[in-house]
Amino acid sequence: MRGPNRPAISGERLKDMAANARLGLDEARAAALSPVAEQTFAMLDGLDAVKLGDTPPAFSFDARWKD
Amino acid sequence: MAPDARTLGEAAAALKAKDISPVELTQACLNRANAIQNKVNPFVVIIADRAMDAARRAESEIMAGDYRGPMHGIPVVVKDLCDIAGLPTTASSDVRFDHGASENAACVDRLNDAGAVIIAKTHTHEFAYGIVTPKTRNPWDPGRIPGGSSGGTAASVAASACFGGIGTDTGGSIRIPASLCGTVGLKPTFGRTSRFGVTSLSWSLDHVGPLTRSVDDAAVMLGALAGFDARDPGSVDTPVPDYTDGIDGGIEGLRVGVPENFFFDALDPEVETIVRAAIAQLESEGAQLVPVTLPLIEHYMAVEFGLCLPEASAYHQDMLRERADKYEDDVRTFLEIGEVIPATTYIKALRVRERIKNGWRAMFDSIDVLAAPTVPATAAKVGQENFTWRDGGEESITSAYVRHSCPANLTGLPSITVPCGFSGDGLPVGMQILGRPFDEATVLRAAKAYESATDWRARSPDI
Repeated sequence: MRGPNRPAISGERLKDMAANARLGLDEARAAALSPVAEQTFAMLDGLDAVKLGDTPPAFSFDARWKD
Repeated sequence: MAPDARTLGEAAAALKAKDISPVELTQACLNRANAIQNKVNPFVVIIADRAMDAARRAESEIMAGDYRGPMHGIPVVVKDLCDIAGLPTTASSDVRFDHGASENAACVDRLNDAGAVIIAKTHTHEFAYGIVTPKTRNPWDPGRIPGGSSGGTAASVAASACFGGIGTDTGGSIRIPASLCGTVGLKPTFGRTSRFGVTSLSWSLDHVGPLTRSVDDAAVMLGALAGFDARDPGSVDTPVPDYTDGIDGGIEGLRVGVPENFFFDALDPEVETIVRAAIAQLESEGAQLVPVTLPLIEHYMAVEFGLCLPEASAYHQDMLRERADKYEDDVRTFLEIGEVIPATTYIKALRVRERIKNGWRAMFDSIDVLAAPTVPATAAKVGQENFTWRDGGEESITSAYVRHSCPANLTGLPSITVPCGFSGDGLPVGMQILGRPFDEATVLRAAKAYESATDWRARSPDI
């Protein structure tokens, strides 16, 4: 289910979001992707329910110099 | 000629005793590979000339007394995400029509160092981004999918065209096809095996591991593959044990976690019955069953896709802009969606992953391993899109298969699938056993105890 603070991802909106990522989508392609994008973002919205506090992310960056 | 259904270990013993030569063994596997290609199509390419050259080298070395160990002279296959110098790495994609690898992947070098004979490169779901492997069929029923993304490797191992093979696993891509094709499949701990030279799907979730016809064989292959590699930023520098040491030690007193939520919430009733019987068999072997509740289950798929989608889109960023029309539509769709996920959402997924990891760590205070269905259903029919569960709910086959397998990717924990029975229509069912970080030895020991108490391994597909 879509989170309360996010508008639905219409084809037009998806086209703009993709353009911001320098990815061109024509209207037909954007319209076809729109339901999949909405489903995906709805799933990701669920992560807002996790109280993360100061939990840091785990990155694999290693500053050691290795051969 | 009947297929050679011996295990890798049995073939290795015959090679060491010089009862058979690597050349004879390789030729037999090449014959079998060619015989099944029309029906099952597991292979992108069969590299017969290279294989026979390697087999002749192995034969000379063994005859001269220079026996390297149980992989020496053993025919194996490699998923076509792994670079072999001088060959294209197609990733089963038209996008890679002009690709050529200039050096070997780390896993290929390690197989070569162990004296293995690589006979073929196997099909994957395009760029490992899916669980169907549409170019390949399931050897138990060619009307069914082999699973994926390492579907070609699983099908060729199950059909006895080789004694083991390399797969990769980002959300279940070793264990899903291994379960659907009735083989053993082992996803090691994150960092245990190098991904250098392997086409990435998701750097934070990708693993490399073996698919084999027995648990012993998985231990042998993991021993050949495991080890630190500074060229892979995820590689961990920790000692590699002999995974065959103690594998027959049994499971008396081993604490086996049995999930009270998540893994048995939505699945085929027949699969549930078979896997619960397998878990009961573990108890019969001396294990202590401990009910456990998995933490944060409602977020596993969101974290899996929240990490995989943007990472894959980053890897494919240039190719998607230059060759979008050469991708299959399902993969292109994932890549386009991944382009628009905010960085803050990706980082939130990383942070929730830490919470999941810590929750699993606490859960493992009371258990040594966790046993569960590898996937919630047997192999889907070719073209099937959804499963319908007993409550009437529908779930896409991708969601269903990945839902069960992705916890081991999110946590990085080792997980093995071992065949544990067959459905009424003759399709294999797998049980997965997960363990603590870098404790593949206990996972293998538990799987071996189960395998030894049953005879599922004796069955082969009639193809």
